[in-house]
Amino acid sequence: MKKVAITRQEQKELTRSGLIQTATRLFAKNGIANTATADVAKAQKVSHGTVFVHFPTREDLILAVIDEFATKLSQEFGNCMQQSDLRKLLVFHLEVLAEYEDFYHRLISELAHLPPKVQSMVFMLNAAISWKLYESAKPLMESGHLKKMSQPFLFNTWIALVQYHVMNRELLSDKLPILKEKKNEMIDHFINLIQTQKGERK
Amino acid sequence: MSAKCKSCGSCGMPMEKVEDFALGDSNHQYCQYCTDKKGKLLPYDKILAMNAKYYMESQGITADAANKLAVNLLKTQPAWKEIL
Repeated sequence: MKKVAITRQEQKELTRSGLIQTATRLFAKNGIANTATADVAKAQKVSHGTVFVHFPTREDLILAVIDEFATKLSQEFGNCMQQSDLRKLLVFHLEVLAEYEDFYHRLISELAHLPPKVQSMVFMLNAAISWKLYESAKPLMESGHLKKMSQPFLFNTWIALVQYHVMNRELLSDKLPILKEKKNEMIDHFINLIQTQKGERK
Repeated sequence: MSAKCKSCGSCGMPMEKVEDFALGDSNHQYCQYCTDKKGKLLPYDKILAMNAKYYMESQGITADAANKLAVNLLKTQPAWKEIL
């Protein structure tokens, strides 16, 4: 078979992306605080220096992993918002989180002890989800199908439900990811909480 | 996986649609919110305040906490990394 040569730039991108995948896996398995950059280098079979060429600090590596996850969410939401359907939005949110659930579990469990830049990025990601959720719910509040509530309470009610399940997933489900197992139940419950009688009849 | 969409070099917002970019130009490095009508980057203080407001309105975060989150967020962005 003919070998296809790859450029140095392509090799660099492959290494970077490989390091992000490996870091995601190790963060999910061992915890973010318990994973050193040397562990990532060893698992990826590169030198420790190679990690620092791509990510000058450990914080940069954590941010890159969150950025990858945020991009996936953003892409799913971008597609979903063309339909501006509240239920679909919630489905997409849980499906992406379920795909990253092992990592997400570590992220929210360790968040208070992670660097401030990482916390800022996680809350900015939540801000984007909150905005999309509210944009989708607002017309339904105006038409009387959903109860009127502020944007923070709408979003915080949803994310509290999601994060409680993820934080306690081994107690609340026999099978993981819990967000896959309980997806429909959680979405039905949330919609029941926020809809009016007029919304129920629809 | 599809190609990664660009994000604003000032606030980090993903720029998915052409109208998200400054001047509606998909080669621009900043978003429409971080720039003026000529596509020039707005002053740091203004962008900091916009981001803090975004944190507050989206999740009910207090003004002080939102300001701290925004300061730390902007530190990660290419436009402000060097000067902060």
